[in-house]
Amino acid sequence: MNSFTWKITGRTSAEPPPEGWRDQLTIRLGYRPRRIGILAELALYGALGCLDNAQEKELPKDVLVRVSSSRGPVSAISQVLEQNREDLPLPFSFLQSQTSQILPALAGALNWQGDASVVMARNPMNLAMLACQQAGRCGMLLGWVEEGSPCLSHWIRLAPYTSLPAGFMVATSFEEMTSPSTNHWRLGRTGMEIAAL
Amino acid sequence: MKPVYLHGRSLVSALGANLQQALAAISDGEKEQQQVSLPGGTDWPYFGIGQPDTNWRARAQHLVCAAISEAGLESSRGAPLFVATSSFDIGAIEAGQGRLRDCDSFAEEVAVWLGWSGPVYLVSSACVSSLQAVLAAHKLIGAGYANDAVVLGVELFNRFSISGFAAMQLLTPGKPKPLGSDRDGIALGEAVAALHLSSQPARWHLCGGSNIVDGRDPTGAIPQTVTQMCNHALASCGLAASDIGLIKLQAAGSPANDVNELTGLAAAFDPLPPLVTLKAAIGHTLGASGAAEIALLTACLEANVWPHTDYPLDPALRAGLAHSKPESVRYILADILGFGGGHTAVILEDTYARSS
Repeated sequence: MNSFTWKITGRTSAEPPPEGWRDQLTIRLGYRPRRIGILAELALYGALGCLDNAQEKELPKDVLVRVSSSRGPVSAISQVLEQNREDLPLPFSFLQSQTSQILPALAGALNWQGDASVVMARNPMNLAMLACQQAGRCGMLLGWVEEGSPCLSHWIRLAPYTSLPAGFMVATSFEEMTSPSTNHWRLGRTGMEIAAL
Repeated sequence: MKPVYLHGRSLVSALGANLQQALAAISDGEKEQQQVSLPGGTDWPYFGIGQPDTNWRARAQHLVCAAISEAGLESSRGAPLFVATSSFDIGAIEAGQGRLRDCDSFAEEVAVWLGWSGPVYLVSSACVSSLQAVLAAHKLIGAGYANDAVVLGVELFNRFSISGFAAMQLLTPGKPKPLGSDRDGIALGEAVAALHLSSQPARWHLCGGSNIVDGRDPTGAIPQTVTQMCNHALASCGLAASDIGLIKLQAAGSPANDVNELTGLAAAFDPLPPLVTLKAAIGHTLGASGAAEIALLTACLEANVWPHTDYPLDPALRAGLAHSKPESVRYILADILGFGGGHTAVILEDTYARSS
């Protein structure tokens, strides 16, 4: 079993993102993202902010990236459904309707390639646990992104931590796991465990 | 890592209601493709499952339950379940049998149909969804977090996907001809496939694999990344390229993507081992394709049944499809390349071939 203790080295919680977040994203990227859709833009906004918070200029290639979006690209899906009633959809509308398009957008913006996927579960704690079970030495970048209302882009960067902090307790909610006062995760016998500094 | 085995499998596809029917259909030769008419006046070939039902959800429930039953999973419903799909229940929404809702609601609905008590995950990374789910399940079992896990690939009829691929000019108007000299696009298909992975020994050992997302092309494969995918997969299993006796290709009949795949493979394997593609038989079943093609391929190998190729192959690719089942294959690499920059491969070992 994976015996890593994970330290939260960076996080962003844009829930909702601030006014002008798309302009901020353009400045951060150095270009305006085009034709990737609102969901992928939100993902980029949060992921880049998380890396900045972690003071990482690049994402190491062996980092595990997992993205979750319960509603997915709902505006693009609705648009394609509408376009389909009379004719073929526009190609970029269809591409934007695919949740997986978050991944190449992220990989491109982060100048990174590696193990990434879109995974969802009703309970986000289960997703966090699944990612911890799969991640290796370089840790993981986890994102929860939703467009529409409420709009959010919530990201956490975790890296393995060798010094074992004391005071781990079983996490009872995802909110507890991602609380600013939580700095460490580990897999316990009965679920996720968390600790403060 | 504990070894992980393919303990059960199933496939409902255009070839039939189960794997036995699929093998019989492959032995008999070609099955007629269906045609789907889209608004705007275009018709496209489609590998649909028979068994029409006016109620999308009732049909989906029937097909999912049939697949789980064929895989022998009546008593393993506490295991982690990975539902892999790219289109969820969008077909029901098109038919007016529901409204757009959370994507993970579909996985929850499937779990209710099956009376599933274990954790349920939904993987939706386009065409590579099923293979990503297989790798996730492999890690869970291999690391000792679970003894069993189930990957359920579900891709059922919807005009959303067909029209999207048509709009992107990726569909063939005729028959898909993977690696063919006059290949001109892919044909989509339906499938429901279940793979039961377990720590309990069985014939097929799932050795490991690799998943690489490359952002350079959001719709297709990058040759260098195909090579990396193979090298990573081999390294993760402690194997050399020369150990691989068969490659199940992504090859779907795309003029460009088939070339990219073969170019990448040729850089990883010299010489290339025998190749096989199943998309001329069942179509491209998108998020279900990884599970569907592993189920069908392993069944073909066991039954000594092999898909026919009835069209000329492209000599420029310098690679041919195996005309019959290769002799004494021990290790197989199976890859899927997809939208979203996904390059994913798994390696299977036929433990019955160990002694030879």
